[in-house]
Amino acid sequence: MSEDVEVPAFSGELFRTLAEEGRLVVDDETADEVIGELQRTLASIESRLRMIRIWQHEATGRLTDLPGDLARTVVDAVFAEQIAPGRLELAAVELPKYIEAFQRARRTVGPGR
Amino acid sequence: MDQVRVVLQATDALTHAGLTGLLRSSPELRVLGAEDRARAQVLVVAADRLTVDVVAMLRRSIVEIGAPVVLVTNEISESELLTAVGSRVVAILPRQAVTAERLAHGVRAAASGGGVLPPNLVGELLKHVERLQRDVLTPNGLNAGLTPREIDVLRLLAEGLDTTEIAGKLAYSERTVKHVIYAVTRRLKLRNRAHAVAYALRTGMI
Repeated sequence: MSEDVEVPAFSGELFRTLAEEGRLVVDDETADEVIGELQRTLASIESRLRMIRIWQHEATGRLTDLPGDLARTVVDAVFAEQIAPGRLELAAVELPKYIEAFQRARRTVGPGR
Repeated sequence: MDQVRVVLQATDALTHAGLTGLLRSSPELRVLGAEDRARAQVLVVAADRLTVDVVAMLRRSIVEIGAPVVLVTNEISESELLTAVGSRVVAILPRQAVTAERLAHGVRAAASGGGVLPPNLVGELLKHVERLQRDVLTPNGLNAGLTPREIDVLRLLAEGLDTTEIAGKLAYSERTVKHVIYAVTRRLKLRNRAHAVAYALRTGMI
């Protein structure tokens, strides 16, 4: 396959469809690893979104009033959101679809398959 | 053994003639004419790239034939791969590497596979999932500069596995595992494996 530098588009619906149609089949060990990773990613994203929302809607103070680590995190989050607006929110919508797909695609594979 | 009924679509006459010859050289395959396409068990599509027209043709074929597709193409990007898989493609053969044997194998596997994606395409889908997560996490500083592969290796190190055990668990070579660890320690200026594990723990990656 050719390498490219495009930003990967979300394809949660495709994965869900492939799993529903029985076309995507993954052994349970691989599925569990992928699901676990996706769930951790989703948790990170949701945590970051909560922080962005709090800063955007409730923050009345200055960035310099925040502890150093938190201030840096806020700057990173706001900057990333400006570079790719809406991508975190889209990820929060799409990742559960991937998780559902791999849960459906999960098959126990016996020895000698 | 019943012959597998195949229909071929190619974007140019020379390719069509060449692939028809290869398909007909396999006695277990029967090449149908365009008028019989509805009876095909497998559709072979040959195209330089997955253009809008080729994708439209694939989608029409899902409705008209519903058969799994073997795609012969020059190169394919990640997004094109996903489009292809969504259009019932179950095998992708690099055009330069097509032989009568490989083509016949691909067609037989497509006919008997029930539309289930083979391991190599599933592998590409898993790479997409990994890349997607990295693309979302890294700009937001959410993965401490570690790739999912590096996180997997460090997690297993933290569980007390040695290089050989990690390689077996992740289906990598031992050399790959050592390279992953070396890359992490060098890039993040960490002193050794223990330091790398401690870093991953402190940053919440494992």
